[in-house]
Amino acid sequence: MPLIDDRGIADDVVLVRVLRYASWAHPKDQPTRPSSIAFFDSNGENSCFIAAEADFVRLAERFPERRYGAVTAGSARAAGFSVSRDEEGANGLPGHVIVGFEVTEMNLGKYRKAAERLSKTGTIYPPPEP
Amino acid sequence: MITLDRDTRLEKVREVELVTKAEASARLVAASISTTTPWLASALSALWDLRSAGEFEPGVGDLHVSVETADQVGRVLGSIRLQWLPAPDVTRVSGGGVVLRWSVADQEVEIAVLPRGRVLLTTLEGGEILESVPLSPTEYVRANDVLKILMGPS
Repeated sequence: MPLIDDRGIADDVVLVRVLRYASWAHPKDQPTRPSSIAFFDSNGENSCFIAAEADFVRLAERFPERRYGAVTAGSARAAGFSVSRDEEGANGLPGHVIVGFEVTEMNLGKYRKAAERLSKTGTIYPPPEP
Repeated sequence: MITLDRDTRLEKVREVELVTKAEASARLVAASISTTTPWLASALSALWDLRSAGEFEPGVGDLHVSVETADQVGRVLGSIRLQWLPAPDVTRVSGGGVVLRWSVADQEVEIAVLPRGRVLLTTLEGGEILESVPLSPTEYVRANDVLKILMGPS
């Protein structure tokens, strides 16, 4: 599926990624940001949520005790990713987007570096109190 | 199994777990690996744990590691000839990939094994990527060179 950058999602929009494993945060013991492998989906389709639209109560139910990493749509674009809505990919969870990178046989190294660049702009996102 | 009871000196029959020839052989190999290359035993154990868990999680991605990808990781690990290495961090990335990472001080060597046979060797220093190159199956042995550098002069 070709990745389309949805310019309707402004550069200052905050996107959160569920940090599913301890190694998806950096550093592991006292995380301050997502790690690069958090944005290194094997198919170049990193599943994220627009923070302002996400339902953190439902997210917490689905992913108990998980941290969230936050980046802006602008920093994702600057690192070489596209940002597009994907309401179908989250099983009813609102605000779902794909932070995508067109991965080919030739640019895997470039993708790895883009993931590193993006993660370094990130922070750990404290979800709003319910 | 028949043993002699320590107190009564009578023979007693104890049930033992039946072990197939293949399981016994696998245990022997595992014991041997654990003695000769502890890092490999640790990596294979972590890989086994990854393979036996993981599914598609809406909002995160596919966390299932296929048998093919796990086998590919095994081939990468099998191409590493160094006996003494730190145990690698073995973790999954969404979309079915596995990342192996060895760290010594601020130096890191990372091998990402992604579905469809894609393998990427990355070296990092102080968190900065120095080099990131794809490896074809005939190039897996290149990992030995960067891991030797990671370990320093012996």
